[in-house]
Amino acid sequence: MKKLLAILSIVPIIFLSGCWSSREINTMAIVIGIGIDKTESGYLVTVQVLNQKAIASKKPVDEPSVILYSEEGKNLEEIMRRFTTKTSSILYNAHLRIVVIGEDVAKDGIKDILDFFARGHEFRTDFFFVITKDTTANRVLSILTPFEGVPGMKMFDSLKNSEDTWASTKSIRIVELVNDILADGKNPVITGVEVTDEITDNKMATTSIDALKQTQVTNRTKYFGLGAFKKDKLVGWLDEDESKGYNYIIGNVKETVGYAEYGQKVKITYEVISAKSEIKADLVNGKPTMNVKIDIIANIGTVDGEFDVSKKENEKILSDIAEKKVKLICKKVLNKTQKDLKTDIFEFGEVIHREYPKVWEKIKDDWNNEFVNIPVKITVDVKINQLGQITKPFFIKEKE
Amino acid sequence: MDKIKITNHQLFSLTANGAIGGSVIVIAAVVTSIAKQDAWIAALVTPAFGMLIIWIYWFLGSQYHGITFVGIIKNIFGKWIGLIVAACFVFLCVIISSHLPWYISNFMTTQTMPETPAYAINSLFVIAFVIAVLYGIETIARASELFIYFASILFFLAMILVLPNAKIENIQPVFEKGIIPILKSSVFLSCFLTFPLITLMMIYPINLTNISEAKKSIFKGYLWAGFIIFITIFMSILVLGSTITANSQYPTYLLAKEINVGIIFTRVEFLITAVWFVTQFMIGILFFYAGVIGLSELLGLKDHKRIVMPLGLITLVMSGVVFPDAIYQANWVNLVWPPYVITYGLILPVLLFLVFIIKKWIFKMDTRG
Repeated sequence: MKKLLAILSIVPIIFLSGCWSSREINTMAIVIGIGIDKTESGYLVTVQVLNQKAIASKKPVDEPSVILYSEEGKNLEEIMRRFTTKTSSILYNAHLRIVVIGEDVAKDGIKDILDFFARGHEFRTDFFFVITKDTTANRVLSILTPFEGVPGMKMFDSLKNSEDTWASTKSIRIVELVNDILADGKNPVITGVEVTDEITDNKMATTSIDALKQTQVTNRTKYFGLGAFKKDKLVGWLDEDESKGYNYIIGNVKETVGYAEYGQKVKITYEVISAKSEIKADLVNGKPTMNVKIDIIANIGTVDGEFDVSKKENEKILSDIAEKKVKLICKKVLNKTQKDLKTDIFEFGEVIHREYPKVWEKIKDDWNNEFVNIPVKITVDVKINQLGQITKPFFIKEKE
Repeated sequence: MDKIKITNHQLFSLTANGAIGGSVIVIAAVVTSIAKQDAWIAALVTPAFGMLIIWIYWFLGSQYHGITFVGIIKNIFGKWIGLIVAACFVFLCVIISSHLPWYISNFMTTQTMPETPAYAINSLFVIAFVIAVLYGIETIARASELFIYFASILFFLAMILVLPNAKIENIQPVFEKGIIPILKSSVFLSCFLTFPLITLMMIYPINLTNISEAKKSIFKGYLWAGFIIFITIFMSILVLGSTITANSQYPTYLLAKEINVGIIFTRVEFLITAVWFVTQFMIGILFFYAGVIGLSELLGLKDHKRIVMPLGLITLVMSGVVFPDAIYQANWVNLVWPPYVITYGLILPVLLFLVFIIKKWIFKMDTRG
């Protein structure tokens, strides 16, 4: 009896080795980027698939590291399956790094796209969303990149690095994006990507591997700034300064560089090494007003012109002009969102919601109109930390 | 009849595993769909009520040392009414033990292996049930003793790793909609956390050596489970926000997907799955064991091991057909499960308790039957 049981339990092991739904790596087409454009019949989806031959080989291969496939159709799920009619293997989405959404699609709304990415079981939550500016997602994904051979990876890394050190972009993942759209007092922003030096002569465009043999690549993908949304629809763009101002206000600046002018001749560049912001709501006569307080710690980067940064009495000037400058760019982005775009991307509404739930109950249905007229007070506090490797600039003439 | 004994620490782990298993991966969705961002308060309130119910469970068990819950029901309600009530309770255990494999296979087929037939996964699970019950309660209890360490360590590891993604704004404003939704969701939470522990009544009055110490271990196990569920709900809201938590099928799994510490600790969501599998397995065993023991006692069998195989086969077949689809299951969990489990997990013990008190102290009857 025991022997029989043992045999009965061992025999299935031979036949049931491995997983049931297993897929070997050479049968998978690993998708790094997905681009979604609008066409007359629905969507044009472009997938950037790793070329395993070029990535894994030890010898240099004269092939691009990624291959693009595109397919048209009415619905994303349907298009993703129809790719099998073109590719040799089935698309595998768990390593997706970046989703590029075409400008036209973003203007029409991205709700349906987000549902697709949230529902599919292969999609994880760790990829970023970007939108194209003045170009198509197909075009953006087709640009090859030097150094980081996989363009999707380059876009992923570049977005992260530019957010961390330059602060004009914002990496956004699906959980945050959905929450931003859902919340009443908050609207999302997504970083915009453009293709530089769009040229008519397509022979040396960076879609060909030959273009990578030059030091100066003709066109590249570049992050432009932020696209402001109203709910799930793109309503307008913030330029580089405005995007920085936005990040200052919401406290998303980790490090950045900025300059401020003192008088006509002096220009001082600051390296911001830490920036924090606190948004608070106050009630004035029953009406909410916003208080934004930004605390910045900065080092001196460069000094152009005759200005002795090592003098004690100049310290106040240093922080004053920086404060003014930051305030200026914050005001600029506030003006634009309140006057032009009319969308609350700063989550002021949510701040009121948290601090004064009862007031919020009354104004939440009409929040977009309320936001346009809400008074916002910005206070900036800059603290100078270090002067760099030298103290007084070398080229100041000593006054006797 | 059953001479196998378990220790108090094993009872602690059985209680904790049982309470965690039914709830850890799905409960955050149900609770947050009602209480929104205040759901974590519900997770604090629930154990407070739960302690009272657990105390009733313990009290009944302590008064009837040496007989199972089926015996207790028969003793208190008399032969005929007791028989019907006990049969209904056993039916609940058998039915629910076939639900639990369904959850596992549904999870596996939606999240990782969509082409795998559900029965392939269910059968692995049910075969493990059958083997475990054939080995007896001692083996089950020892396994659960190991599982609780395994589950707790992995769970807290996952929660620590996901901590950098937490945003405190997600739980504010606190008490936005008042106390009512919190209490309402607390009822739902009890249906997953507290009431399934009624199955323990089939084990500890009979298999425990030291019944007076049992109170402590059950309370400890229950509170430990309550703490883990609180952390689950709290972190889900902090990281995912209340709306996404409420609308996802497996919020805790989604939460673990968010783990992204450096480039080393990513893609470790199966930490949570492992926790859920072992604890779900334990609550499944508790129900199945209760069903087997209960049925054999109802039928007056000398050896319960004779009906393990047939009952396992029934469970296996039922586990595939018990819910036709995920929509039916979602409605069943929201509409049928709470009243069903409240009947047996709350109303029945309270009724037993009252009848016992009346019999003993008002009529001075010999309650040992």
